Amino acid sequence: MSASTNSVTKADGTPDYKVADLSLAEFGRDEIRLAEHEMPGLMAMREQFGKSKPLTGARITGSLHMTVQTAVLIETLVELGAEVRWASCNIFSTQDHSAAAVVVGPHGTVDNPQGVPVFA
Amino acid sequence: MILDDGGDATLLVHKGKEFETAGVVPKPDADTSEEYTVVLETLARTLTEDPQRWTNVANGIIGVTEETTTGVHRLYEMHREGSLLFPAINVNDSVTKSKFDNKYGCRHSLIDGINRATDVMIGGKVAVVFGFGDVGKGSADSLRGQGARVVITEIDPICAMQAAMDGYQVARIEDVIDQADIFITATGCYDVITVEHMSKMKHQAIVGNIGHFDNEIDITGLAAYPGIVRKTIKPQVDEWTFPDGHSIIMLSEGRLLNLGNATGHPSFVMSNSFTNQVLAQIELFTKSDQYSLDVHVLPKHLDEMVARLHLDALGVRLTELSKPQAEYLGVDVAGPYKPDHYRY
Repeated sequence: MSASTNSVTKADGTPDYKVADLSLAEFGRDEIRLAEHEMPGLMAMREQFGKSKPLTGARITGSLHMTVQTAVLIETLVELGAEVRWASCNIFSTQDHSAAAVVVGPHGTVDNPQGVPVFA
Repeated sequence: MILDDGGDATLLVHKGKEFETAGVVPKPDADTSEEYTVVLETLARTLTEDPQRWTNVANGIIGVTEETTTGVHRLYEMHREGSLLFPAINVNDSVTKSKFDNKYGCRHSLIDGINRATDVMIGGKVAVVFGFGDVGKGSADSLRGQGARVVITEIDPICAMQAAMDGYQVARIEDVIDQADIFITATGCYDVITVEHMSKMKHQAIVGNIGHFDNEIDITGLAAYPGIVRKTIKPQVDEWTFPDGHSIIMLSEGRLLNLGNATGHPSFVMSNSFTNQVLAQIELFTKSDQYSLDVHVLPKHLDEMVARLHLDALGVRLTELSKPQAEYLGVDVAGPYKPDHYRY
């Protein structure tokens, strides 16, 4: 995945996300990896549009259950060039490990998260 | 752009602009839902901080892609009233969304939620499913697959006949209130199960919602019932005991039980829904001049493409039309194969 325009840090250096426990990110990443195999449509979108990045310049705010499956959607939008922010739409549906993994991102760490701002 | 579920983010922007134009945010009263109260409080705060905030946000939005039946219903209503502020793509009504996610997703995740919440034996029980739309169809199948005897309630004669022809008993809640063990709402309507109903259910009847919002079940009325006692068994599983000693088991406080008590729909079916979302976002962003201020659906060739992308993983081999066969049917060899009005 190429460098994205997303940042999980505000201009003043404070965190630009709100999740229960960032340390769950590794578990979340493992489940996201397994889910990717079961989501051939989204992975085909990455293959087809990952180079041309048709969503470059698009700023997308999502309001949808923060699950493992939604994590694969979010990271697909990012891979296609979009700048993304996310909130859950239901107080009981958030999977905390998935939310943590999206904030940390595929290339970040718990100490240096580089993913997408998630509020869930 | 907004990627929305249930129309919540779209509602916030629309109400924000509406109240900024009016210059005042209405005060919540006793009948205002808890969630709308939060919306009103948020907008009252932003109105004092920046009286043009949502007007500016709305002006900058290219469009919204909406995931659910309920959110889409709201969009069409706003468009009819002339209050829709930006173009929308109705992702829900892509065939590869609502005929798959709503149906087969619920078939998987309904019993997943009931099992994780209660671990009760479903086989042999009587289960009532309220509503026989796409979600109701998947839910009924889910329970029947476990050996439950499923009863359907319906207001729509077409859906009622579908249920009857599929072999389900179609009745009113009053007819089965004292016989059923599991009650699942899948309607998109409100006050479908009232506290009056719950007061007459069997001891430890399970009550849950897989439809839209928590108002399908009168939770507020339940909590206000004189002498009722709530005991939380575990997160999202509450036993409510009536003064006569019988109790009901409420899942996820009436919110979506498949997401509250389990983990929602599985990846494969969500890949169909979300591939439609990605395509809709690309359409809106790259062809915004082609999407007028209206509620649109994705063209059928994209719908067929989403299905096609999921066939290899299942080992499906499609039969290909010959050219003469395609001409006989009046379609292109590569599709689309059905007219837009075809219902699948």
